[in-house]
This record gives sequence, C-alpha cells and structure tokens, in this order.
Amino acid sequence: MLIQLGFSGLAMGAIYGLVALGFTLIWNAVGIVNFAQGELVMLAAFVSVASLSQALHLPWAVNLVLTVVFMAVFGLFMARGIYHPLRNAPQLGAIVATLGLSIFLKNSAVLVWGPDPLIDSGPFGNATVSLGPAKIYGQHVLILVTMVVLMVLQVAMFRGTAIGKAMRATAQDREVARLMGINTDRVIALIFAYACMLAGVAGVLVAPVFYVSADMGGMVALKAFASSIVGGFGHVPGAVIGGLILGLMDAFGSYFLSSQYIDVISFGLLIAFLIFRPQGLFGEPEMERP
Amino acid sequence: MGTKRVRFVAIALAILSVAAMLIPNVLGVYYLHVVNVALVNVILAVGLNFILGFGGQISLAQAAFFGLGAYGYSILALRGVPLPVAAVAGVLLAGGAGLALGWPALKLKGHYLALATLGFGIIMQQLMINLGGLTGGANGLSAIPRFGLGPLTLDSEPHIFYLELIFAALVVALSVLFDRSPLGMRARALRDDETAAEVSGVNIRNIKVMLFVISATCGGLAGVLYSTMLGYISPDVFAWSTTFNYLVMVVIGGLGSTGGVVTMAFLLTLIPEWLRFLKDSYMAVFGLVVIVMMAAAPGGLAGLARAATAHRTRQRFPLSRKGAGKFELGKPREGKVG
Amino acid sequence: MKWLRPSALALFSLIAALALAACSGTAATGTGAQGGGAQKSGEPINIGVSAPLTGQFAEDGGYMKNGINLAVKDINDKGGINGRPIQLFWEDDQGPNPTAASNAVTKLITQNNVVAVIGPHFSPAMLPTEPIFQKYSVPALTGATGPPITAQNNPWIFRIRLNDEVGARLLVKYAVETLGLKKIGLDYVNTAFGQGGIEVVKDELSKRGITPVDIETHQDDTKDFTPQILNFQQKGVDGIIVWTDDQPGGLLAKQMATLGAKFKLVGSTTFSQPPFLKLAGDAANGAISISDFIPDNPDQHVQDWMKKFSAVYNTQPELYASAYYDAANILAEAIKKASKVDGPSIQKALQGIQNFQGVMTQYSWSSNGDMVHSGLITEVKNGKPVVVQVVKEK
Repeated sequence: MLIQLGFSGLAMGAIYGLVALGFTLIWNAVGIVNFAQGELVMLAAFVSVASLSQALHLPWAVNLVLTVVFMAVFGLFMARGIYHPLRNAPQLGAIVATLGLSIFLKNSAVLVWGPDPLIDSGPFGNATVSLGPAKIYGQHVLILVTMVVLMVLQVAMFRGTAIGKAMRATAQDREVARLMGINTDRVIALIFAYACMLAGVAGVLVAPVFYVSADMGGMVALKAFASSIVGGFGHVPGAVIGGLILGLMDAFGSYFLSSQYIDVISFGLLIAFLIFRPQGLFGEPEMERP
Repeated sequence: MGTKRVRFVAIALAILSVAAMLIPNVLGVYYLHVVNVALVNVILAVGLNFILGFGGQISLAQAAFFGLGAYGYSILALRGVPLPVAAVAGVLLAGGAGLALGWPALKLKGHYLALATLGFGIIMQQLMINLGGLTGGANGLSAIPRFGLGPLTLDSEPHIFYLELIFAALVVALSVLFDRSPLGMRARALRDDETAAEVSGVNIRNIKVMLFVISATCGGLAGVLYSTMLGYISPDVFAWSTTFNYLVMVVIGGLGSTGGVVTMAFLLTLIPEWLRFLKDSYMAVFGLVVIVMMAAAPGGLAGLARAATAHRTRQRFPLSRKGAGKFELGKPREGKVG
Repeated sequence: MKWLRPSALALFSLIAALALAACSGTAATGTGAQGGGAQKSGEPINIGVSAPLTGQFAEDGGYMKNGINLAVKDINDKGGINGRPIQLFWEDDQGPNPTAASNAVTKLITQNNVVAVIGPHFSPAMLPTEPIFQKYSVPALTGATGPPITAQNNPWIFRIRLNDEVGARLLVKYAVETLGLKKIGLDYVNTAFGQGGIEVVKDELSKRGITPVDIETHQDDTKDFTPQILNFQQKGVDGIIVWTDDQPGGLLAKQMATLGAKFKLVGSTTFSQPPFLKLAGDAANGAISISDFIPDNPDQHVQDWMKKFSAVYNTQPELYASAYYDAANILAEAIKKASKVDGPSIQKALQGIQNFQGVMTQYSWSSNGDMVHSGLITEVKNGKPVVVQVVKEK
C-alpha cells in the first residue's frame, strides 16, 4: 500500500520536476519567471497527440522528435518576441507578459484543436510493472528515468560545455559577455529553444498519463513553481528533488490527512518555506535581489 | 496650489458631477450595470496600484482581499447584523488580512513575494469553497441584502451607481493625494531602489506594510460593493486567476499612474462587452494584446501619454534624465549563474 | 494634479466620449420596453440564450448550440410560431461565472428585449441571475441540476432536467436496495455541482441508517486518484458513490482498474456519457449512473432523435444537445399556447405544460419549477451504457 502510494507520488513529482527543469533553465539564464511553462507543455502535448499521432499516425519516436523540433522553433520565436523586448524590464513586466502568453496559448488551443480532451495510449499503453503488491505504470517509470537523465544533462551542460559556459556568462553579466565576444542574443535564443524542448519532452511523456486538455498546464505549473521554491529557486537538482517531495507530499497528504484540504496544505507549506527558508533546501541564502 | 489650478480643479469637478448625474438617465440598464462593474474594478485596480505601482512590490493576492471583504459583509449581513456594521467589518477583515500578510512579506522580494501572495490567494479560495457551513461552499451565498442605511435602501442600478461612484472617487482622490505627497515620494523611492531608499532614511518596513494594508482595504471595500451590487457571491469570482485582470489594469495602465489605472479599469471592463462579437476568440486575443502591450509599451498607457508630452516635459525640466520616468517598472534585473 | 494633465485628461475624455456614444446609441432601444414587452405579429420572436461559448466549458456550450439551433431551425422552417419566426440572441456567460452571467442575462433582457431565456446552465450562473429574471418578468429554462436553483421560490425559473435532489436519492435507492451496498464510500468534485449532489446523497444515506465509511474530495483538474482509491480499499468499501465531471471520472475509473479495485462505481450522469466512456475505455465497464440520456435507450422517441440529429450533424447527439433541444421545443410550445407573446403570459403557459413529450423524456411542470420527474439507471456493458431501470420520483 505504501509502496503504491509512494510510487504514484513520485510519478506526479517527476512531472512537476520535469516542468520545473524548463523554467529553472530560463530563470537561471535570463532571470525571468516563465509563468507560461505549463502551457508550453500543453502545447507540446496537443501537437504531439492531436496533430502528429491522431491526424498523421506517426510512430512514437518520430512523434517525439518532431514535437521537440516544433517546440524548439517556438522557443526561438518566444526569445525574439517576448524576451527580447523585455530584456531590460524587471520582473513584473516579464511576469505579466508570460501570464498573457499562458492565457493566449490556453485559449488558442481550444480554437485550434477544439474543446474535447484527448487520450493517447503512449508507447506502453496501460502496461504496468509489479513491484511486490504495487502496480506501476510503465509510462511513469519512463517519466522518472527521463527526468533524471535530463537533469544530469542540464547540470553537465552548464558546467562542462562551451555553450553552457557562454550561457552562464550571459546570465552573470550580459554586457560584459557581449564585450568578451559572446553572441548573447543567439545564446539567449538557444536557451529559450532548449527550455521549450524540455517542455516538449514533458508534453509527450505526460499526455498518456493525464489526458490532453487546454487546462492541463495550470495546476501543474503552479506545483512546479512550488517545487522550485522548496528545492531552491534556480538550483537544477533542487527543482527536481523539490518536485519529488511535493509529489510525495500530495500523495501521502491526501491519503493520511485530507484530500479536501490538500491544496491548502501544499500551498501552506510553500508559504512557510518562503517565510522561513526562502532559499529552499539547496539554494544559497539570497543577497539583495534587484 | 495656485488659483489657476484651483479653478481648473473646481471646473473639472463640476463637469464630473453633472456627468455623474446624467449617466444613469442616458445609459440603458445594461450599460449602467456594466459601468457599475467597472467602478468596482476601478477600486480594486487603484487599490492594487498602491502596493504594486507606488511600492513596486509584486502582490498577487488582490482577489483574496476582494473575497474577504465580500464574504465578511455577506456572511454577517445574512445573519442579521446591521448592514453598516457588516460593511465596515468586511472592509476591516480585508485590511486586517493585509496587515497579517504584510509583516511576513517584508523579507520577500520579486518573484518570491509573487508566489507567496499567490499561495495565499489559492488558500483563501480553497477555504471559501470548503468551509461550506460558513461560506455556502461552491454554491456561494444568495440573496445578500443590499446595503442601506435605515429606511434608505439601494434597490436599483442608479442607486448603486451613486454609491459606488462616491467610493470610487474617494479611492481615486486618495491615490492622487498620496502620489503627490512626501509619503508617495518615499514609496516611489522604495520601488526604484530599495537599498538606496533605506540608506536615505526611508522607513521601508512601515511603508511596505502600510501599502499592503491600503491595497487590502480597497480590495475589501470593492468586495462589499460587489456583494451589494449583485446580491450573490461565489468562490468563482475570487479565483486567483482574476487577480491577473487587475494586474493587467495596473501594469498596462501604467504603474503608479492613477489616471492610467482608472482608464485601464474601465477599458478592461467595457471592452469584453463591446467585443462580444469576437465570442470564442476573445480570451486568446486578450492574451495576445497583453503580450504585445508589455513588449511595445512597458510603461503602459501612462508611459505612452508621457512620451507623447515628453517634449513639453523636457522644456519644463531641462535637467531631467532622459527616459527616466515615474511610470516605469522599477530597476532592471540581471540573470543568475546556472 | 498630474492626472488632470492635458494628455491624461484628453485620453480619458476620449474614452468616456466613445463609451457614452456607444452606449447612448443603443440605449434608446434599451429603455421603453421592459424586457418581455409584447411584440406585434409577423415580427420575429426574440429568445435569448446564455451559454458557455468560451472558457473551460466551451465544449458543453457547443453541444447546447447544436440542440437549440436544430430545434429553432425546424420551427422556423415550418413557419415559426403562429406565423412569427424565432430569432435567437446568443450571449457568452463563460460557464460558472457570476459576473459574466449577470452581464449576459441583463443584456439579453434589457438590450435584446427577449421574451424568454434558455440558460444559463451552471448553478453559480443561475443563482445570481434568478432575481434578474424575476425583476423583469422573464421566464428562464435551465438544465442545471443543483438543488438550490428551484429552492428560491422563484416562479420564473423552469428546470428541464432531473433535479439532483431527486436524482441523487433515486441513485442511492438503487445502490442500497438493488445492489445491496453496505459499506459505502463517497467522492465528489469540489464544485457547486459536486457539493450539492453529495449533500443529497449523504442525507438519503442517513435516512436509511447508513453512514459513509470514507469521504474523499477532488478538483476538476486532479490527476492522481491513487490515495483516494487506496483509502477506499483500506476501509473495505463495497461500493463508492461519486458525484463528478467527465475528466476526473475517467481518470478515477482508469486508475481503479489499474489498482485492481473491486468495489462498485456508482455515480452522477457523467458516468453514462460519451466523454467519460472515451476517456476511461475498458475501465468504464460496470459503472452505474443516474442519467437522463443515453443513445441506446430503446425508447422510440430517443431512437428517432438519434437518426434525426445524425442526419444533420453527422454525429450522435449527447446529453446537452438533447436537453436543450427539448428546452427550445417546450418554450415554443408555451409561446404557441400563450395568450400574448410576453414574459408573464409565456410563464403562465409554461406552468400549464403537462406530459409534454420531448426526445429525452416527458415534461410536466411542478410547483417549484422542476419539469422532469424520472430518470434512467444505466450500467456500462461492453463499452456502452445500457438502461437497467427507469426510475420515477414518487
């Protein structure tokens, strides 16, 4: 019983973590909180299921690749259209703009693909793996594994590769980076593209678990933000661990305490963290942030 | 204030009063109803402008204060508490919540504050939905008594219009006076550069809390007026997503500009009604317009207006910094190491 | 006074002028006629519809449109009502949105001068607008099922679907008497619909001396029901009664199947409707529901309706289209019988409707405004809902 509960909690947590990876990247690179990250996942899910799977009947692997490519292109547009004009404006402008983007995406999805929720069986269908008395969806395992892989990739990229170093330099001081010869505009465009690709992977993986609908992004994104706070805003492994913690808390809280007040409890925890330990579990205590 | 200004203000007030008396007779019931909704939104938006525009603190809790005022008034009114007492109680409840939220929020900045206030909003809405015995749950509260003093009850749209107009005017006047006052200047100092302000002797903590309380109190006032206008409230009205509308009103109106915020509040209430022909695509267009406005005009309507008169401003203040303005969003921020 | 600065003042005046211009232009037609005013013959009859055309429930709004448009087209093709065509005015109330609904209804009544309104559909939209209907003497027909809607002592409100107050009790009766459930768990979506329904379920159970062993709640966007299902299993329920919407219902059924839950799934109308069946797939089998409409209802009227609708729309009708098709026809019948074409006369005619045969069921007015007094108990077999019992209010 507890194993089952634990695993379903981890699965939901992995989804939060996957979404959190995306906007943590954007935050680290350009200091914008992307309130539209959930809708990006929704967009990818719709593209994947509605257009590629149901309309064109493409095999899953091709579907995944095409969706990710689509999202990458979308990310480039996002960098040019949203980030670029707001690059010197502080947080409030970006918050409002990304909230506007989320509303635009949510309602456009209904216009393009209709209001009906879509189902997709994914590569595993309803197959489950048995761990003792507990049954675990194959798809959940895939999500967990993918999340870990992507997290490791993200950390490695920032530390090890040239492009990663260029990203860090741009993030630290854009003017100086430019003076040092880094093409900051291109770097930032790449960052947005990659963050959208992450959302794309999340969308394809999550579609069989949930159902694809225009409002699927909302609560997941909120929980993903909360995960980041818990883990330490901007800390990549922290976002993922925060997600897992939040997922486990949702599952165990609903079971042992109350399914009625679970949201109150989750967000209460969020506020508690913000008041008493805003740097989360792994972040550094913040100095003055502009 | 010179005599020229006094005359100007007097004439403007006279014109506005006449207009106010004419409006209920000129507009049909439907449009008057929409105007009444707009007035409630004006109070909410101008209220939010205190903490957001003047103070530069990102609060996403305005809908929660709206709800506290509404539920405070409605619950008491339905239990037979004299209506003026219920109304004051509702407003104080919201203001008190602002105080309670303001203190812990002192150490939070930027997106941390945004998420904390957002969390508060979600918790409030969940409580409204779940404490059924008190709040009527998701079905809400019906047949809320219309506000009245003794034999004088408000039972028509024109009466409600006058009541709301008075309060809206009061809130707007407060905002304008605050803006011009030394207190307003200190608030703007806080918004533009908190460290510098603190070093210059501005009492940051007090101002932040005060701004929070003012915003919350305005939210509560709007809640009481809304309850009396519609006679029905439910948790749907106070979802945190409606906070976004007020955020847009303030940011696109122009942070710290009372006129801009009032204009946006009206526009944002009226435009959906005008654009009903867009039907399915209205919300998508709304989102798009918000993005475009933020990208093209971060200073909002007020910023645009100011730019239009920049030449005249430069003539009057030849030494001012080019591009510096009262309506901007505050200091730019930098990214963080990955 | 910076806000009185010429630029801001000019801008504000311009807006105000535009607004007043727009409003005044149409105000002339708004005043005078008290919504529901009598209209001359030969002229179109104005009927208003308040529906969720945008937002989360746009899907349902679309179905409503199908049903109502079909009914009105048929009527107008036959020459209208007493020689006068029906003209529909559609307004978007965005679903359970009190402010939007009150705006929509006010506009329909005071700007479009409708003699009757179909909708709004949701409780948080009906409850604030009921006083408006009463104030302007305009009857409203709604398919919302929340008990408070016909408990307001408002003679202008007519409900054209089974009141949850009745439906929930009939469902509990079936669960306890026919299925023999003894240890019962409850689960509901935390909205007006879910809360209202489950209150009635709880009350009926307590009348029968049964206390639920576990009560769980969820939101419309809850995705993981594992904790709830495990709780039910741990407390050893033999069945759960669920009051919820399509998506959570589908996920619940699917996850119950995966976790090997053995208890019966009994619930509200959604468990017999196409969205749930599609989303839950095989896991839908065995689900019991209290319903108004399923395609496989052998009743001849339903079968005829299926053919007719499919011929026009190339798809099967579902609950919303059917209910609101009937609503339009009931209204047309009342207008035909009314002494005058105005709100009060139509209201009287509606109160006189007895045993009106619609495509879903028969409609008879009762003193609180409810017009439906029977329902179907359905069970999903082989992926399709089948009528197991026809139940009637006593």
